[in-house]
Amino acid sequence: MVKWTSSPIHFFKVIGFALILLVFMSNQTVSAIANLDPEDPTNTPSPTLTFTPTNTATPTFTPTPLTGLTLASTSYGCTSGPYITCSASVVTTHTDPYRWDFDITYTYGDNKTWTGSNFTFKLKFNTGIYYTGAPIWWNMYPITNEVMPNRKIDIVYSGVPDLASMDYPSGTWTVPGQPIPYNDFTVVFSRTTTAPEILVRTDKWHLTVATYPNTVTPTSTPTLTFTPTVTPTFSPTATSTNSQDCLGGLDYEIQGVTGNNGINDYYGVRGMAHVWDPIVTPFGAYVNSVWILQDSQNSVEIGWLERGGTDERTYFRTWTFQGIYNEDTWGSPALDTDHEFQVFNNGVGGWQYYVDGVQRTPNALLEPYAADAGAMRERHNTCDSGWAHWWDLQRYDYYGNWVSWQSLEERNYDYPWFLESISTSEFFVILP
Amino acid sequence: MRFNRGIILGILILAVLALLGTISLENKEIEFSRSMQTEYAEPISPRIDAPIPNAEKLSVSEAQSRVTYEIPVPSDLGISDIWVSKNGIPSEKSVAVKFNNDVLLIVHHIDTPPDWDQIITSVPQLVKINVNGNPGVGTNPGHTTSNGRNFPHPGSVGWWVDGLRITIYSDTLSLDALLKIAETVLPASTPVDKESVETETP
Repeated sequence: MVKWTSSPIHFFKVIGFALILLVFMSNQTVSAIANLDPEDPTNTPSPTLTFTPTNTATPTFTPTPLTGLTLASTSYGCTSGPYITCSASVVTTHTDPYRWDFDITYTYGDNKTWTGSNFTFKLKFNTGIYYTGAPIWWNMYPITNEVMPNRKIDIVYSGVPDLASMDYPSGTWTVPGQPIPYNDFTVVFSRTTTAPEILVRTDKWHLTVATYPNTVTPTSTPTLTFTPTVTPTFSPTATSTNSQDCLGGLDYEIQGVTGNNGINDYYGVRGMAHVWDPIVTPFGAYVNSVWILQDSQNSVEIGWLERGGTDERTYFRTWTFQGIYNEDTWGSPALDTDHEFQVFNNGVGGWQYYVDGVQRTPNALLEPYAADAGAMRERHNTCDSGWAHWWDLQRYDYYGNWVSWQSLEERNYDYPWFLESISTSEFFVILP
Repeated sequence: MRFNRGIILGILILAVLALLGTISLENKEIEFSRSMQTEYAEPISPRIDAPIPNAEKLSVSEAQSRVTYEIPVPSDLGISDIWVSKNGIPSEKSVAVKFNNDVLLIVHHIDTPPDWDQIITSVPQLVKINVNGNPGVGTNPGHTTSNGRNFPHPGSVGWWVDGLRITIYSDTLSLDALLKIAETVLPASTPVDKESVETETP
């Protein structure tokens, strides 16, 4: 006690040692912040924010800014050869700091075999980044006229290759890091009618472009210098924006269910679905499936899916009995291919699963039950891709016959996405 | 004065240290409790609003009037909600009953008893059980693991009697506790021809 009061220098040496210890303890706290799931709105780093002003340590990581891109402007137009008419319109349906949605309509009258027309839609971004690559995801799906050949995406930016023509453009590219920030770059989505085509029609498609928050978990090492600019990266504002953009942890489903003919109980279901390259967030999932559902604890299902962090598509099937969920995955369906999925029980050997007529064994040895038959698009995060297309939907009835769906009911667990019915046996899942 | 300032400053620093220590400790506790929990994945199964599809939520008496069999319920549990499927003839409609302790009972009409041995082949988490002389399958609450992901499942007891497959579920009760409840479920009565009964009523 005497030494404490008579030697304040010694006192502060002890306190200083304690501070250094706390510096290392504080690093644990910083790691906790860094490991928070940026897509989980329930994770709030508020306790550590009050801690920061007293932190004398420096995490060595420099988190990538949540977005380094700003949409500066958009423009569109069309050009055509002699005797060819064209017109276009673009409606912005959704914007926020990370995502932009557009409905694009392109009308053309191409009645000559020796000329064509060209539509372009340009998105100009300002860049606030350097030394760091900025990922961009995009997705395009048709609303009117499914067959739209010769579409192309060009990126007017050095170091980023152009993309070849494709039927259902979707995927990701990265704006490469540069030592000096570029002022802007431009993405061009174009649709060209080539000379041999003779088409008079209107195409409409939906385009989504997104830059998602950095989800990489940085590593941290304590040092003796403190850079206060780390803190704003994890400011409540950024977290709030995240939670508005990406919500996870639930099944967001758009279901098409057949029935309403008095006894909508079926022993099997099948249908065709398109396999493409969806955008899936690290903890998300994108699923297309057909299913038979007896109740909340008993169902069978087959389809294709992509889980977050894999960039791989696979076939899958499930059987849930008394609430016990079993899942089987296999294969790698090629991009931009169509596949038939089928599950049924004819009373012999349990539930049978087929993809493109090839049986996946063993069967699920559960009793046949008459139940709801449906097809759906499911995603586990609101930033996962949303559109889907099911067609040639059939159900397996009491008499053992495959019959086209006679009715189609929407069950929506993912507003504002909705089921766009083409017929009672075909539907899209799209945004308004 | 200098001496007093030193003491006051020291006390302030100690107070700050105490506060920081508390915050760090709290965070460590949070981390620890998280690491102790099993992380569950979201199953891909289709969602449904009620325990059974295409169902109406009804009063107990109204629900009983929709089916020709006596709805089997445990003797000592208070009913919270009850659903009856809209489709099918009265003898084949499904029924779901939610009880006050969150136990769920689902009844489906099935002509013949399931092959429980085959079912266990495909769902090995189940064990064979017996409810008042009627064979069935059941399990404790737990989770299955598939492709490195954990999927939770409820505890359950399921059996077949008189054309009805009856299953009781609970997220918290053990298999033994569910079996005790199952044994109090009144046996489903022989299906009654509802129309003939109603015809005789003046």
